[in-house]
Amino acid sequence: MSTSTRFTTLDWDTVNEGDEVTGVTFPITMRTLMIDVAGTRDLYPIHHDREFAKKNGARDIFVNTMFYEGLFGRIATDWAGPEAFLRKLRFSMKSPNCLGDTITSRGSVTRKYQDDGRNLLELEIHLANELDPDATVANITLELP
Amino acid sequence: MYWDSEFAESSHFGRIIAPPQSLFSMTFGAWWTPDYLERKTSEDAAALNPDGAVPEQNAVYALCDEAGFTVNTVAGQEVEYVAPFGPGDGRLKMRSMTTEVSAEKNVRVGRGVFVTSVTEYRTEVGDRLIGRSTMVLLRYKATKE
Repeated sequence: MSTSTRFTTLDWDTVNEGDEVTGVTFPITMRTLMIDVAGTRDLYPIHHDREFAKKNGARDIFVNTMFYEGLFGRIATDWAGPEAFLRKLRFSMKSPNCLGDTITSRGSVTRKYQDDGRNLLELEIHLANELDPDATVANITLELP
Repeated sequence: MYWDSEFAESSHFGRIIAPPQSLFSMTFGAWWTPDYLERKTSEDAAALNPDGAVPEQNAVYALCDEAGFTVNTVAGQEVEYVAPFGPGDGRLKMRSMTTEVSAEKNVRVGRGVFVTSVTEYRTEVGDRLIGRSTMVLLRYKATKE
């Protein structure tokens, strides 16, 4: 995965609405899906049985919900640093990201505000594949120290 | 934050914390358990839930199966991570409730219903509320092959 991890946390004061959130891009290979299925113990066949997936209306086997949770959290904290805390994660899967697709993320800061003494940012992250520029869309609330 | 105790102790969290998104993967009911663990797992579950809080089967899913809507796919999810959690908090407790079932709908992959459920997560030690999630699951029957 092409991403850079930072070991210092972003200073909330220096972030602006509209700032870009560093993206990632990587292919979904059989190995990606194998690690996803094994790591999350999700043996539901739609994630590993190509025939089952196709018979049930999917293009092919695809990554699961927990994969997106991990990925969106990682995109947020790789960008903001280790002391950022994921407060809220909401996403909708408009279409699946399947075996053979390449996922590319793009995102930005959509809101900067304080609530109850907390320094908060809202991020919107889109995952695109070759067929759908908005296959998965996430809204994240991130708290900075 | 997740694995370097020296770093984590010097952070504002003061200790190692779990990636918040692990709430779902750590409480996920595995689709498959090795035979040699199956008995132990069910005995553990029974011992932890003396009031029989773990139903044999979700009544809504049983109705979906009856209607032929046997395939699962998550359509969307929203999780609020109320507080950090980590080593020292004991086991995770969860309580789920089905809150909404849509009318039958035609969707891209076939015909089915959207089932919404809300889950609350707490720590065993101190009974602290750490997360709340709302998940929308599509239960469907494929109409095209």
